[in-house]
Amino acid sequence: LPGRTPNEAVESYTSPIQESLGCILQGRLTRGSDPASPEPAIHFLSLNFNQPTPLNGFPELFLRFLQNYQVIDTGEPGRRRYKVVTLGYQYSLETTDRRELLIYQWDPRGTGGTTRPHLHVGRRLLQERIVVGERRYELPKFHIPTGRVAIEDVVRFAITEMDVTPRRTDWETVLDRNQTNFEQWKSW
Amino acid sequence: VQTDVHHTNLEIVELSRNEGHQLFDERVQELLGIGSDEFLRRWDAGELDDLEESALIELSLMIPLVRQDDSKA
Repeated sequence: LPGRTPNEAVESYTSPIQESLGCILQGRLTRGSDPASPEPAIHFLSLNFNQPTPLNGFPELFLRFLQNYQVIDTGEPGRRRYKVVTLGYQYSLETTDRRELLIYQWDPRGTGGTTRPHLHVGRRLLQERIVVGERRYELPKFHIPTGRVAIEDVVRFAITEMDVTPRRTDWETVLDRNQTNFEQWKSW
Repeated sequence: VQTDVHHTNLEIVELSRNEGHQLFDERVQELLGIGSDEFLRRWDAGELDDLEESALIELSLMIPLVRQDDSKA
């Protein structure tokens, strides 16, 4: 997402996230990076100091949100001079006892064994092993391919599929607007 | 309870260097029971294959709090 300055680009990147997450939970976004890092530094963004955060009207269900991003100089003039690019994410829906139900991951370094965005379905939702013919699969270990997932996708899923109560009546408009904006500017 | 009042946006908290280091240290300790220096040593040496994937990715996303991870830039 673009801006005339690095700060403006970061603001245009984080504001929709603040608004979209605010549709289903209360809390704060935690942002930081090592000040000694050379520019362009990689920044860490998380929800409530990395803690699982209960969803509105559903205190047994929690969201954990983490991202890395970086501000890049596009070399273009004006309001497109600087742009924020996402460098990885992990969004997880968890239960009270911290068991993960769904985990959306993307780490282009391949930390978890794949460089592509994917989904894990937690052990709570699946048998740990299934047998097909002579093959045995551990479904929770599958990297189920996804496109790049926007946080708006996760918020919308929580409301429409998991009965989380939205905190504002115009949540659909907010999520659609923020996601459209995100998709317009994302780099891939 | 739904509200039409659009004061639902989340605030941003900027972590200081010390707060960032503390957050990283605490999470590494919680997940692995080791210090962050030891975690980074194992990370650099590729010795963390046994760690659960979600924990590994979480900690990898936190590394920029304490240093630049060149492999990602």
